[in-house]
Amino acid sequence: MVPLAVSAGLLFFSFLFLIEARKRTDAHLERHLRAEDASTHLGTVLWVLVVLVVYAVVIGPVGYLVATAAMFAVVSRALGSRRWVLNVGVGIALSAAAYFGFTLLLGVRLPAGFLEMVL
Amino acid sequence: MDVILHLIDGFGTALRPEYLLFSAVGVILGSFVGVLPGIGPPMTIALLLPLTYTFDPVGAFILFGGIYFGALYGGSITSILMNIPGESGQVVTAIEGYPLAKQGRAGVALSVSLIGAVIAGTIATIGLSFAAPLVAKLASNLQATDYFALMVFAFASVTALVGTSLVRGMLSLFLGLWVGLIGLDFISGQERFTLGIPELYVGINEVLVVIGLFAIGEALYGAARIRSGADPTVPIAGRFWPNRGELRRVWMPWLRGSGLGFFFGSMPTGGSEIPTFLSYSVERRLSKHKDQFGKGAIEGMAGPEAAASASFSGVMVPLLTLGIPTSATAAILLSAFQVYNIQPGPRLFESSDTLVWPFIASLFIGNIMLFAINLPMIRLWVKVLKIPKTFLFAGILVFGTLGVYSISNSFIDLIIVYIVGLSGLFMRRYDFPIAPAILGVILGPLMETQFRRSLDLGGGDFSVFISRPFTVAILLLGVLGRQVGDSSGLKEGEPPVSVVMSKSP
Repeated sequence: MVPLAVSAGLLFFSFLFLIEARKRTDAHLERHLRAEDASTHLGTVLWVLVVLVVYAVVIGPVGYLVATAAMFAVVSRALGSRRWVLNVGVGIALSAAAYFGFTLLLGVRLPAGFLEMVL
Repeated sequence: MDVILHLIDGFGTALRPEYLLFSAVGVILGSFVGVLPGIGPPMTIALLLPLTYTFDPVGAFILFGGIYFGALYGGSITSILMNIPGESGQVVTAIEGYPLAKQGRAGVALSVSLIGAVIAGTIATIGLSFAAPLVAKLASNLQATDYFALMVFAFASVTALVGTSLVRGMLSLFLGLWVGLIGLDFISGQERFTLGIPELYVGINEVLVVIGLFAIGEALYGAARIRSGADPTVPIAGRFWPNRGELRRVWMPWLRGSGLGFFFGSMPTGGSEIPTFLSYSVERRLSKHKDQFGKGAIEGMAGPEAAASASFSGVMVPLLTLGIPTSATAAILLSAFQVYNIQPGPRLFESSDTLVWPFIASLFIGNIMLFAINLPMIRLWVKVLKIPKTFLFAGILVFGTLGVYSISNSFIDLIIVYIVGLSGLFMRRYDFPIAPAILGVILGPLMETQFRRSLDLGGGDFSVFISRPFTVAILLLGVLGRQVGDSSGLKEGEPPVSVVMSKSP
């Protein structure tokens, strides 16, 4: 009953939106989109998403610390920060702070990965 | 004077050293995250929510109170110095505060905003302490049909008032409702929209949606725009404290803003958009300096700032007494309540007043903390604004992911949150409001429960919804709410955040 109502509503408003978009009646949205097109590069987003999915895959086996530091460094590079040393340095500092803060202070479990012996 | 006794009791708990520490930590964390450009209070709470899972409920909610006030003020700093409001309630702050800062009066703008926030927060919390028990008492007479009607009303008003298009608002709402349905129906045991994936049987955790839409969505959106150049930050210059002339201009707006903020915040329409814009237009009408509006009128910033701060305590009234969130932030707080198996509603004031009153007391303490902590630290927060955007967005991704992963170390959760984040990116790109989706996910399942209870009450007959005058009145208001929102003249000031935001690059 409720799923049916929700699906119907979703379809109904999607349809309305489709009509609105075809007729291009929404002047505000048109303006907004022109500004968006001028200022956004979706290619960057694609790179970031690829990194994130890889990150989700390797975080378990590789361990939180290393995977996160690497993710931070690579995402920073994808966003345009070319100083690798700085990217990696900040990445390591941040992931170490997050890892030890969460596991030691808050008692949250995070995968240690191959550093398990050391930590 | 039950209220006073309860409050004294609450203070007894909230003043314990560890809770004072939580409150202080909350204010500091909230301010720090809130100051980051583009991060508003809902996202701050979403990012910091997983931090609290290991705490006891009282501690967690005291922390939330601190985080919220901190995040609100942090957002004001960003609005004033960078012209980037973190949420729609802060748009006005940017409209008047940024020109003030550019005139070399940034210090005064920041202090007026801080003092106003503290005064308004305190006034509104007093209002909350007295109004909430009364509303709770009234609410204990409400039936399932009334709750259903109130929820429909909350959906309608949030959807109608946020954003520029009703169609996109409704789409956002229904998307949220749909995500809220995913999983096994807990009564009939039927699978809903699970695609046969076992991990989806338990449904999608609300925290995933919140972090995905706010944190990951915002970071991806930021990533898309990162090559469009940096936003300029105005340095703090000149004196910090307002002089006598400025004080004379702002004290009435502070008080009026507090009143408007609390009143409209505590209505089921909720949120900070209406009170801030209303306060802005009231101050413009009453001001002797009408020509300065839009170019840095300090009273035009003081009133709405107070209204935004007061509306937070106002929003607590329907949240605590009815269990109905009327803003994105309140919806996130409700999901946090659910993590602790606490169902807000009239019975909350009877069954767990050991939680409610310390929380209310901690709102008072949080206000004072806000003042005491941010006064010396304001120059530090300004330095936070200088964090390069690349690191800012990469950092949000790290902490957003951490928040999700720490729940159950699950790969599927991460993939879901990235998918939700991608939707968040497109919602921002095509100017869909986020709040209705959040509300749909969190409030949708509760509404279905009330709907079922109503039908049970009526023995399966739909006429149960029209058998009580109160239910009918609220349902009608919900349907007509859109027209009221249109004719109230709010649109005149062009509320959409996106317009202001897209001016900034």
